[in-house]
Amino acid sequence: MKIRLSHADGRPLYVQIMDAVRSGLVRGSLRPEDPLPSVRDLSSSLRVNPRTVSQAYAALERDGVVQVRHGKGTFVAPGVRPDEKERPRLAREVARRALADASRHGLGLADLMTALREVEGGSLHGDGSKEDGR
Amino acid sequence: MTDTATAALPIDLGNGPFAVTTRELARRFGSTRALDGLDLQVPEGAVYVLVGPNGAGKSTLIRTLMGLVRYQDGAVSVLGRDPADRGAEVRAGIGYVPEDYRVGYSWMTVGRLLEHQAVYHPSWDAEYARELRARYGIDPGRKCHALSKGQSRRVQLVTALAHRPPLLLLDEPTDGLDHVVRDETLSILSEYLADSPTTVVISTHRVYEVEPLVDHVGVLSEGRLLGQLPRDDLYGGLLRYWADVPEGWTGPGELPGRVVRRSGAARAIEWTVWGDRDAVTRGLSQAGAAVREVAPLSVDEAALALLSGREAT
Amino acid sequence: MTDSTAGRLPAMKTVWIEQLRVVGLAIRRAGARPALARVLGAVARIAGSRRPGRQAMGDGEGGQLVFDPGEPPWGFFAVLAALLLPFVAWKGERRFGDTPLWSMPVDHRRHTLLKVAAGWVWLLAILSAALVWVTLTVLASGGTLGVDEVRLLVLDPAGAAAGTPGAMESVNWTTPWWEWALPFTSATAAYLVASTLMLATRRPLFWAAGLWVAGGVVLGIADFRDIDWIQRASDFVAWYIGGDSFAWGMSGGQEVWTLLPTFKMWMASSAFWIGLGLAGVLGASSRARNH
Repeated sequence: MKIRLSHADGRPLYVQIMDAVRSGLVRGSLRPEDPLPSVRDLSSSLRVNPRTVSQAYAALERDGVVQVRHGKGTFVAPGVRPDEKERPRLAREVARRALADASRHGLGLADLMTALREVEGGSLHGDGSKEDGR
Repeated sequence: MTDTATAALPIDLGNGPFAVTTRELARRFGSTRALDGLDLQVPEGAVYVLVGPNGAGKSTLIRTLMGLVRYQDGAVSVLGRDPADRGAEVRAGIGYVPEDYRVGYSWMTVGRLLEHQAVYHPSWDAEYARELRARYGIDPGRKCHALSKGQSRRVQLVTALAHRPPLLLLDEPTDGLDHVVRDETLSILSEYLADSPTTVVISTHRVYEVEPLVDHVGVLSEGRLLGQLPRDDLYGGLLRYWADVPEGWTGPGELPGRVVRRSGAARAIEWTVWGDRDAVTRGLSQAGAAVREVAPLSVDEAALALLSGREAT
Repeated sequence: MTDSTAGRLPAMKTVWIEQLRVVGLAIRRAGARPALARVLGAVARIAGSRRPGRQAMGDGEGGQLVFDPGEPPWGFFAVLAALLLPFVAWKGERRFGDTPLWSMPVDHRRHTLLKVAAGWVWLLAILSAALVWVTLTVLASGGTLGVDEVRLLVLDPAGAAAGTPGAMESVNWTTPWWEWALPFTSATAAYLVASTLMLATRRPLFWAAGLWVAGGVVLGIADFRDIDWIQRASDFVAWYIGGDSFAWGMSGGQEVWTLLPTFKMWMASSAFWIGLGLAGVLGASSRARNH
């Protein structure tokens, strides 16, 4: 599981960790029953307070995404169906951030939707980079 | 005068339990008030960062907690004891990185210095000390006076951690460390926190370097706290509001929050306000401002807002 | 706190032994061994040398080595070592800043006293070693320890200068037992006084020089203006509690004595100066470590 934290990101650190676990599930790099890194290892590699990791794991456990097995560690819950629940949830999270970003630039939902379709179409034709470069 | 009168943000953390408290702590050096009625509260298990400009009293405060500076007024409790009269017991429970990076006896070798520290701390964990020494790449045969600033800091961190104290007082712990070593230090501290119940007080004017570890924040200015609160409260309560406003806008008569800092151009304001997000947004909207964005501040930005807001008033 | 080992205090005996080791290490690191060897060599040469003056007074020992523990330079060496030792023992301690000594889980005052005591133990050890060494050198060369001689005691300085009979008196002098202890007591006093300056002031050398000069100025003014009580006070210090029997580097000529040291004077001066030094060290050590 690769997690990159950004302190410029508006989300609190524990939310970033939760989102990273969710996107791991959606991408398939994490599967049910997979072990998650221990709180100690993850906080050490992310250089964050272990409480932040515990907080993220506890919140994920409440959401039914992971299971804490005492003495063994934290595992992805066996019954997790990423496509049913995690994918739409993650998509909503991304959408919320995109909207907030748009609003910061004085743009509305309509502007965003139009631009999304244009960009998606453009990148299909392979000139997305040109758009960016202009 | 206590902090409550001047603080822009809350400074009361409730009933604890606290690893460290001070009440109306005062210390003068000549006519300079280094600590001026300070009410510090560090909850047990917290990673508390003390932010403030140079000369705000951070080092004096930490040295007072260590029993190295005698206070003149108020009360201090560190691990349940007063460092003024039970200094030895207090220090036994503290891992201390002093602001001064010069390591102990300049003529000693690093190895002998670590041995010296081990003698004084019955709880010294030799295995852990060796591990830390290896991770930091410390050469035990080196003379202390031949250490660079960064190397000295590493030795100080080893001596602070290796006896596994329940309280760490770190005065500018990342000062002089390069990127790689600073990163390693944060990783070591994360593991230390995960391994044993520890309270940490970090004094720094470079909060961004330790921010991911921090869960409590105290902003210190001129020997007084401007705010003292859990990082999550700061994150949720102190927000920056960007809004478009009409020409000549003077602001709402009353806002359900405390404006910490005002800035921005004529028709686009950028206010930092302590208060409930929805209530403040509503207050601004009712006064004719179109709130475009609301965002939390990093600890660094929050401290800067508080400190510069103070200068403005 | 939950951890039972964290926050435990070190045993005082452990701290004491560590301070002995650290001060010993500081002495070694300061290059004291070669210095000591050189000083010992000089002491042996001078202390044990034939003294023509003595021969003239008829002790008749020819070219033999004579070691008199009550005379310079042996005593001078002891006091000098005692004055220098605090600087070596406190080397690297930022006495007015953050230093391991203050950051350790030991009461500041107790810790200070332990370090001073450790330095004192080393001082005694160095002096004993030097004494043994000189003694062995003298004995090996067939010399004598202690003196048995005739000293000329001046009873009336003015008369003596004019050659008046009866102004001087011949006294048979045998080194008394306590002169062997003299270097130790005087060095102890010097060590304690130097330690006081070390603990109480940021710049001990500056203060030592300052006090010396100030004392000289006061005595000079007293002499010039004939301020009687100051002169009497300085005479009191010189005669009864001090100078002459305590630090014989300052004692009168070797042949002509204005006053011969007595057991009582040694006791009084030792008690006075060691007491002064102890009070100084105790006072300075209880000063809180704050700036």
